Amino acid sequence: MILQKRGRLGNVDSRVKILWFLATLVAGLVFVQPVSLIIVLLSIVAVALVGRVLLETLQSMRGLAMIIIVIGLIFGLTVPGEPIFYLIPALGPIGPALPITREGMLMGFISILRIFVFAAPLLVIIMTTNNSDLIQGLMYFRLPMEYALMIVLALNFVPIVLAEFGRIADAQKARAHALIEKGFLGKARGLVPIFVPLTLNAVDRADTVGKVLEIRGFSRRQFRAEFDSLTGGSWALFLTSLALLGVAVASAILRQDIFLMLFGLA
Amino acid sequence: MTDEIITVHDIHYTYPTGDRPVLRGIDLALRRGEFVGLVGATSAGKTTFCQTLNGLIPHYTQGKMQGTVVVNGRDTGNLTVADLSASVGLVFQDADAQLVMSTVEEECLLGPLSQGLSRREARQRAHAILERLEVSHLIDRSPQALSGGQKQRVAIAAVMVTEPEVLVLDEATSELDALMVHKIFSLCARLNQELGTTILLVSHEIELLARHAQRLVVMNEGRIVLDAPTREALKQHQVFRDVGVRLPQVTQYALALEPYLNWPTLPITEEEALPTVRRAVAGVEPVNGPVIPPPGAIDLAQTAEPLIQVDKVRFAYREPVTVLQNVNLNFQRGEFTAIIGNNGSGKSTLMKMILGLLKPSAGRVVIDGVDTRQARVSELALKIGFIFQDPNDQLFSNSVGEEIAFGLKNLELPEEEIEKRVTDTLAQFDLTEVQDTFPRFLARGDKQKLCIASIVAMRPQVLLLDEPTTGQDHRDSFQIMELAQTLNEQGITILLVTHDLSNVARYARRVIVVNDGVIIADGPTQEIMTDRELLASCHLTPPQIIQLGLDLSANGMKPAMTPEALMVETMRWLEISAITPSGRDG
Repeated sequence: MILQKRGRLGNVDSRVKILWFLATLVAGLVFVQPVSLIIVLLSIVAVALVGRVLLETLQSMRGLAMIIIVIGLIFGLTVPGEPIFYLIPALGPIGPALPITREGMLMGFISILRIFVFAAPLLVIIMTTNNSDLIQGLMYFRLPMEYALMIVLALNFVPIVLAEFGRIADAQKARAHALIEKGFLGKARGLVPIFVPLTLNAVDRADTVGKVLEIRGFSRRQFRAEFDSLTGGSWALFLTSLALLGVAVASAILRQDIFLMLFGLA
Repeated sequence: MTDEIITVHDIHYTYPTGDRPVLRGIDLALRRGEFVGLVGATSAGKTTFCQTLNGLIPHYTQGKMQGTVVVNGRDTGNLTVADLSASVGLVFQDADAQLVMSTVEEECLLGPLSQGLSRREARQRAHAILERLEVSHLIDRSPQALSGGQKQRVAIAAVMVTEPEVLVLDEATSELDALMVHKIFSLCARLNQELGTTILLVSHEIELLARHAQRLVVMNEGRIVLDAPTREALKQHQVFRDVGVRLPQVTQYALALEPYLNWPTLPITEEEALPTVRRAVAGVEPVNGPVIPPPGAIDLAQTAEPLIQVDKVRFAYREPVTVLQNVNLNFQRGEFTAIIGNNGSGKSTLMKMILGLLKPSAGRVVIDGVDTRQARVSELALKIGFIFQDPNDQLFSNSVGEEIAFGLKNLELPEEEIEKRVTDTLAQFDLTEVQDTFPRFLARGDKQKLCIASIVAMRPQVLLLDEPTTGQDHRDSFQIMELAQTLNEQGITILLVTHDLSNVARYARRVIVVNDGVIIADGPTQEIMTDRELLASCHLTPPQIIQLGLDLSANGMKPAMTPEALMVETMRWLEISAITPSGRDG
């Protein structure tokens, strides 16, 4: 959900926030060591903390908990290496089976860190940036206006669809529909009465949104990208982003993890 | 420059997926500064017509179109919707779907920024229009977090900010409570008078159209069947009856009494009717004639154990903000009870609590001996049926028959029993002919009927109806309410949440008033609906006929719940003055 508590980051220029997101994205891709990724993550936490949206960001990330657990398990189970423990212990007739390996745990941990590094800045930006600022910021980075608006509308659409999902589920429960049936097919079948109206309503809504944009003259394509001069906060984030980007790019070029070197861990 | 801002000439239109024309030769001229009301039954073509005025048809929704629409002297066929947006603004019925941005301010910036205005200019305009619509305090709020009335005003602001000369509102008030509907109508009147904005307002609120619109246009089956100044139009009452549009309650009442009362002109507001009736009944006493009993006259406190007990219930979606506080209610078998209150008062939350969709934060709800905290909703559905406001949230099957069978299969009934119930229900609800139709293709009224049918087939003891007549025309609304009454007569307990107080007055025997999550009144319909102060305290207004009855009560007349009841009451008085004036003297 897009928050109204925009914190200090609300006044930061949208171009700078997008640059910061790109810097964290590059850093997340370049660094492979947990320590370096933790440093990147800590920088993100610091920005959210100074911007006074840390709590909201953490709350928004609760939804990722299940994905994180699943990814951790997948890596832990599938990467070959030294077993730490077995999911099915040696007691039973088929045990020991399904080993969780040290290498798998490490890979899983790195993947989870990367998810945080990729997702957290995005959430911070969504929570602290007005739609029109975000559109203008994306346009500054040469994204066509249609795509910029599409991204913004898609982000706005998520909470609406979730609310609609709940409403439709309630309507079907009122007809004695038990949403969770036994077995995979049962579960899939149980969702049909929800997803059919949800999809058809979403199509109707998308049609209305299209009409609304036409009515408001969006197709004139006269949306101008204009920005105020950078505030102190914008400069601070700009320099932070440049520093992070610089370290990440230098690490990639030198094939050395500069964070590890700086902290004497290389 | 001509006085006409929009000229429509011989428009015929067929949707790309349709095989029959929806508009069949429309001719209409809108003059600058007019306030025009557009009425008609569902499927009359009103929405389609509105979309031809700003070019959405044929530019956005294509299809087969003949004829011309000329706006400000320019043919819309040669303009884009964006070009036309500066001249014609359109507000849809569904406020939710047309609010697409993250804050109210952003919503109002999109139009001016798309017109190429600088951010500073756009902001100035947005703030000015939000101020004018009295929603400037919501500027940083998310549109999705607003109440229905606030959303609709923001939707109007988002259109008005581009300063169109014509504002078209397509049933934009249908989901709002009475006070908000009054406010939106007054707002349109203000925009019309202060800014000279031409208004075309599509609505089923005929009493308010009669009060505010200078001209009424009646559509039926894609044609304009009547176009005249409001008072002249309403005199042609047969046209309204033929197309299924009701007249203002006061006008219905006046027409029924036309043989007995000498109306200087056919009244269309309660103020116009009052002097004539007052003169007629002044200084006379009523005879003991027949009286239509008010719905509240039936005593309910006869049965023993209540069917539903709501006991000291408190509820909060997020602590500490409570939505319901200390709610204590009992519902007996066979009741027909209406729950009323303004938007956001907690009515729907109370209904969800009764169905078990929400569990109380404190207190308990007991349905026929079962505590909802210990039961699953699917189990409670055996006893209680819930009809949601929007039928599109429920319908998903391939055919009407399958839709009815869905709930029965969930109850795991035997196949023969399901077949029998489906057949019986189709017949009961007059849906047999459309049993193989895809439910989403039905008209809105029929969709709602199907939703009720699919629940009634499960044979619940209680039926919860959440705004079942929202967005329905008079004929469909009447059918749905008559259906509810028939089911009630068959023994089903009805709990109705609605903004339509004329339906409450006509059908409910008990009324519960909810305000800010607290039950502030609970009593017989007559008692609640005639308490102006009580209703005003929660932003509600009595229907027109009750207001007239209350005004006449100063003369000793009893307020009535329906035009027919007030007519009978007036007749009791008129018989003395008409038949025995000398006797009275002697």
